[in-house]
Amino acid sequence: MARTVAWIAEGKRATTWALGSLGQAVLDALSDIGGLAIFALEILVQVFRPPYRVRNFLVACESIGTGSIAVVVLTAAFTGGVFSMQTTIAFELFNSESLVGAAVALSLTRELAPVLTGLMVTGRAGSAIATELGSMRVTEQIDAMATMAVNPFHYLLVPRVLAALVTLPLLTMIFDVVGIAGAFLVAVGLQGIGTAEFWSRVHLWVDLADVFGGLIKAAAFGLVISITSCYKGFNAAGGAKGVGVATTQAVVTSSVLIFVLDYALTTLMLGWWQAF
Amino acid sequence: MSAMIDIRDLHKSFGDNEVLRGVNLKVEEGTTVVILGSSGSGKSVLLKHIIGLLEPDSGAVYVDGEDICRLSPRELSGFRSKFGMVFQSSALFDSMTVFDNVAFPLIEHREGRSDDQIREIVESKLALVSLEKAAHLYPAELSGGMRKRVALARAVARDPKIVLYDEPTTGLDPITTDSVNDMIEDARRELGVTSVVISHDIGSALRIADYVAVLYEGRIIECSTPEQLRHTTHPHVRAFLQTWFQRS
Repeated sequence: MARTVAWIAEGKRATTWALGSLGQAVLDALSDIGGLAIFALEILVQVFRPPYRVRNFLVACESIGTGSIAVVVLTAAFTGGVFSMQTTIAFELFNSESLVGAAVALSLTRELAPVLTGLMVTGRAGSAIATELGSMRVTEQIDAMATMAVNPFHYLLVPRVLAALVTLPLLTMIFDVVGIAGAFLVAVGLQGIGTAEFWSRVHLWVDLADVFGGLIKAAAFGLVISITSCYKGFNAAGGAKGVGVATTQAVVTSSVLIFVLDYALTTLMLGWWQAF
Repeated sequence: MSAMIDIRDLHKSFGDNEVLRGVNLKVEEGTTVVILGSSGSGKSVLLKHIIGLLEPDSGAVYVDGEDICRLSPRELSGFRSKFGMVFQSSALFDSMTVFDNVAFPLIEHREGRSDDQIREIVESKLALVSLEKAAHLYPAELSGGMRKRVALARAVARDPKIVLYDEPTTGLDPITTDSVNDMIEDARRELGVTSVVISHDIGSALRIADYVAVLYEGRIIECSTPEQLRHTTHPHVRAFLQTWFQRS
C-alpha cells in the first residue's frame, strides 16, 4: 500500500515536472518570437532614418555577397550536375530524357537555388554576423557605441539587413545560371542528351515568373537570415561561450526558418506559377 | 558649486536580486568622485544608470538638472553627448585603428567640423594620453594600459562635461595603474571635467578622489573626502580599508 502511494506521488512529481518543462519551453519560444518581432520592427524604423550609411552597406554587401560567391558557385555546379544525373536515370524509364533540362531548371529556379543559397549564406555570413555582433556585445563595444550617442541598430544592423536583402537574390541568380550550366554539362557531356533538346525544353517550360518567384523567396530568406543572426548576436551574453551559443542558435534558427518560410511562400506562389 | 549629477533613491533589481536599494549621491561639477565597493556590489550597475544604459525600477538620476530617466530614447541619445565613458574592457572597436577609434564620435557627430579639423582634434587627444605614435595601430596590438589611454582619448574627443570610468585600473600592474591615475588627474585638470570613477582599488581612490563614496549592500554608506575616509567610524568601511592597509 505504502509502495503504491509512493509510486503515485512519484508519478505526480514527474508529470508536474514534465508539464512545467513543456510550459517553460513554450514560454521561452513565445518570448523569443516576440523579442525577434520587436527587434525587426526597430530595424525597420531605423531603415528610414538618416544618415544613410552607404559605406557600411557596401562593406556588408562585400562580406555577405561577394564573400559567398565562391561557395554558391561550387554548390550550384555540383547540385545542377547531380540533379541532372538522377533525373536522366529516372526519365529514361519513361523515355522522357528530353525533359531533363526543364525539370532541373524549374526545380532550381523555384526551389533549390533560393533555399540552398540561403543555407550557404546562413553557414557563411549568418554565423559571421552573429559572432561579430556577439563578440562586440560581450566586450562592451555596443554599449560604448550607445554612450557615444550612436544608435547601434542604425550603425550595425540596418546595413547588414539591407545588404542581405539585396545580395541574396543576386547570389540566387548566380546559383540559377551555374546550376543550369552544371546540369547541361552533365546531361549533354555525360548522359548523351542533345544540346538543342536540352535548351528547347528549358525555353518551353521555364518562365520569368519561375525565376522571379525564386528571387522573391531569396529576398525573404535574406531578411530572415540577417535579422535572426543580428538578433542572436546582439543579445549574446556570457563571454566566449555565450558568443558560441548565439552563433549556433543563429545558424539553426535561420536554417529552420528558411524551410518553413519556403513551404509558406511556395504555397502562396503556386497559383501564380500555374497561371503562366 | 552645483550638483552635476544627483542620484535620488535609486532602486534596481534583476529578478530576485536587489542590486541597488535606495542609492543617494551628489557629484559636484568639476570634482572627481570614486565609488568604492567590493566585487558584485552593484558599482557598474550604478554607473550604467548614470549614463542611461539601464533604467531604474524607481528613483531618479538628474544630470545637469535633467532627469535622464524621463527622457525618450532619442532625447537620451542626444543627451549622452555630455558624457564620455571609459569601459573596464576599454571597449575599443577592434576593426578600427587607434586613430579611427578616437575619430569615431567626431565623425558620427560632425557638428560642422571638416576632416582636417577632426584630424587635429584626434591628434591633440592622442597627445593628451601620449599615444601620438600609436595612431595607426589596431587595439589588438596595444597593451592593457595603452588601451585604457586610447579609451580615455576617445571618451574626451567631444569635450564632454562628465567622464565616467568603469574600473580603470583593474588588472593593471602598479606602474600602469599609476599612469592611468595620472591620466585621470590630467583630464580633470586640463579639461575641467566632472569625473565618476568606479573602483575597488582603494589606493587609486585615495589618490585621485575629491570624494569617495562607498557602496555596500545596494546603498551608499559613506561619502567623504579621502582624509575623512581614513578616520571613518563605519565598521564595514573600516574593515574594507584595514584589509587594504594590511595588504599594502
